[in-house]
Amino acid sequence: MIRCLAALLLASGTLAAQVPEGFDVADTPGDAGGSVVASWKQLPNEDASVTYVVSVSRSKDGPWEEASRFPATGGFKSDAPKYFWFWSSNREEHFVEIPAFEPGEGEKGPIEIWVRLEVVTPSATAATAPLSATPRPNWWNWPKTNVFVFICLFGVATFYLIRRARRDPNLFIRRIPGLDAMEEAIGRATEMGKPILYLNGLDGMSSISTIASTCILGQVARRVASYDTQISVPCYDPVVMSVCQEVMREAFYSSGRPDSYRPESAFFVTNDQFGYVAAVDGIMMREKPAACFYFGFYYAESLLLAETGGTTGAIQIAGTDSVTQLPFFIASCDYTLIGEELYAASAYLSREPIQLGSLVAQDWGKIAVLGVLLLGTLASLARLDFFKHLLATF
Amino acid sequence: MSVELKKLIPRWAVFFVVAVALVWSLLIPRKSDFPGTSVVKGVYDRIDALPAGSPVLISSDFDPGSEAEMEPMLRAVLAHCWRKKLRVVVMTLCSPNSMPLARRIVTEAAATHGAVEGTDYALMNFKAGASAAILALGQSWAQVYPVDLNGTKISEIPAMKGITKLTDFPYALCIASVNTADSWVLAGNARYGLNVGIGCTAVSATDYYPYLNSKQITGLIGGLAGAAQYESLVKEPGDASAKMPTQSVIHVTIVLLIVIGNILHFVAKWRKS
Amino acid sequence: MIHLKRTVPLAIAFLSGIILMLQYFIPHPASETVLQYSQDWLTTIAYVAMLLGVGSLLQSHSLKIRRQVPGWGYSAVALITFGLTVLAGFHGKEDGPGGPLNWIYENLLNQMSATMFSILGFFIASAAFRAFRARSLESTLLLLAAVIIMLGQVPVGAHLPVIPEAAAWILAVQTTAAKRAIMFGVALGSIATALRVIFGIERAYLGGE
Repeated sequence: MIRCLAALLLASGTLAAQVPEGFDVADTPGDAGGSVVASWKQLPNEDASVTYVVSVSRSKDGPWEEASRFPATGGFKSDAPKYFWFWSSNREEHFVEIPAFEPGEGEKGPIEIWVRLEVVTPSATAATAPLSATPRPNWWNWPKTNVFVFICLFGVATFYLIRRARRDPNLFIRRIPGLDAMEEAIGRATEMGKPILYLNGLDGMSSISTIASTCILGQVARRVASYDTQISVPCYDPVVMSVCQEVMREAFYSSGRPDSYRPESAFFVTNDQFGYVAAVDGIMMREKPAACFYFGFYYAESLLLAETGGTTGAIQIAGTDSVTQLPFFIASCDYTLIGEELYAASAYLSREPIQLGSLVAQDWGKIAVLGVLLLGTLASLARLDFFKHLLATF
Repeated sequence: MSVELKKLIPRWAVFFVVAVALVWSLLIPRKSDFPGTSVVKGVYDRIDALPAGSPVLISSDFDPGSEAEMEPMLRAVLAHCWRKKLRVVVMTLCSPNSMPLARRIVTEAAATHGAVEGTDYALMNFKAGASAAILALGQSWAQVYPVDLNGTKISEIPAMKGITKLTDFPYALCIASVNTADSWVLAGNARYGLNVGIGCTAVSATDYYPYLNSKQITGLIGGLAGAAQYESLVKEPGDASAKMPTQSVIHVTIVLLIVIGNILHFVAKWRKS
Repeated sequence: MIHLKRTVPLAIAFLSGIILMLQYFIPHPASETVLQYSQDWLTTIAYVAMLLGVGSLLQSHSLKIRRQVPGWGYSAVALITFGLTVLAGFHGKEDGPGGPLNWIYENLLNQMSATMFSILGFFIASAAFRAFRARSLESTLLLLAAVIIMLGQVPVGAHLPVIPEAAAWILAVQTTAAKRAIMFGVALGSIATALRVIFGIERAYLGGE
């Protein structure tokens, strides 16, 4: 018992005399310049009785202010992969991120930060010589490079396939019944002498689904112009209204029917969700459109629109990337475009080789994702974490 | 719907049956205990573990249309926070309509729990551009909100003591009927490592299960059922607990209507053949 | 003129798309400033565009009243309430309790929005009654899943065997898997559409060919 105690004292005394190797202070990688990072290698045989205390100062000689205090069992670089990634040596090195500025102080410019590390054990304390670093804003966030690489690869594939589509325009695209039915719906509206109702969803022009919807509107407006049918486009957003007016005007002009274009076809209703749906429902009940098209992003009002349209006997075609509203459209509409079919619609209807090429690129992307899922699953089963780390996002 | 079914059971008859079920459900006794599921407990346990005096950020991102579903959730969480003597900061990224609504709910709840504005809670105004606002808050709170809703400087509000940026909050809860919850996960959690929980409408709850599975959020309060569970956990039955029997009755009614519809469908099919 | 209508907007779309895409990868404060600046511009344009929207609203309703089309009374109501709300906004405190605008918001807008939302319950019943038919294997599975989830989400389901666990499993596994699959497709489609818009391949939003 006494021998054990003596050995323990000797060991702790030996430990307390050491300062960690590799103590370094540097600018935090991949940040906006608001902090520095102090790092050091773990001590041999360190345990919970050892405490690290990190102090900071604006000058080498102090005064020192305690920035962090933690036991040696924590604070490893492996806990912060967004800075240090997943290298195996991270499990053997400690680190502390030290904010460099008081609130609002950052505007004054970079300030040199001095950092000192103390190793505190039950019997003694040891301290390193202070080191300094200046926090600087970085121009690249390296942990996000994998995302950038994927986007570049996908972009290259898209442009390659677009070039290929220009050379060979006979690309196969599977039938999308909802889009094929649009021609039939427009014809039906023309025969019945009733208007078509076209909705762009409840998002603004910055939403991809709204952009896709306005592109489809151009195709629909061309057909409407040539058949001389009425079309009504109630809009939720004023910017979307302006875009729709311009799209429809060009469609009518390019179809040789400038006299048929009415600017009031696309009009602003309100940007209140249920006020919009109440107004559109009222339009449906009064004007009894023969066809209702719902393309864009929808929220809770999707079923209100679709059910009301259903009571009027209109043929209804919907397309949305709003996953929560898809079931409601599927239950109430005659045809529904699911998710990416909405984005494919413009290419499908125009049949332009350039746009069809990007559709093929999407399919290649999906095959790549499937491959990554399969490889990732196998790698995880084999406990090969490198693959998972390669795809980690921060 | 086939022509025969339409004639047999017109749409208005379905509406009438639902209306009758709704009225009947208001007359049946109220139950007040709803066992919390692990997803709701994920939010509850996190807030419960916070020491007294800790700040909690609540982003109240719903408008009057979804108030019925979201208000009980907000009230239950506020009750929990004030019982634990936590400081609550309420902001909104949804729309200008959201903060008047949130303020009414918060001030009513504060009156019930004896919470004082400025000391126990603070209200921030609406900020546009959800992700951008969250990213900016991660750099500096005062840059985005130099003053609170009443025009008081942030530095003069006791409830905001020690908060200089987003990561000074140990926990943030986004109660949203719109997709700002995605912004909190992508900008708040992914970018700054903020611990985030989500409260949402029942129909949107399935959108956030992937975040739950990948541990990007600690928990999820989904719809009225989630709110009722939270009320049971904090032992303060409120609107959600009162409305759950109605939801039960309506769900059972819809299931019965589906069964009846299928029976009639097969009978019509058999007669035709 | 073609230059202004075509080339300049395409150049703006290209430059802003590339800059904002790269902004995500650059942590420098200058990059955050660019993002904040663009968000501020977006908000400013949205609010200025509201003037266009109000103009369109007034014009379309005035036209309906002048032509006395069927239902022109609703347009008259819309214009009258628009005017009253604007007057209420100019009179008294806009966001304080007791002011006329706040009264309109609390007692009219909130209540009407809640009413419209509550109609959804009836429509869901009607849609479920009509759509959930066991016509084929897929529709039968859909029907069973819907019934299990509906019962599992309410206290009544807790008294039934297996239902709560089955509902939780369907939500956490099946639904999540399906949503993830749709989200993959939507994400790739979004990237492809965004690339088409940024590089000027997709120009329909500008108006025609």
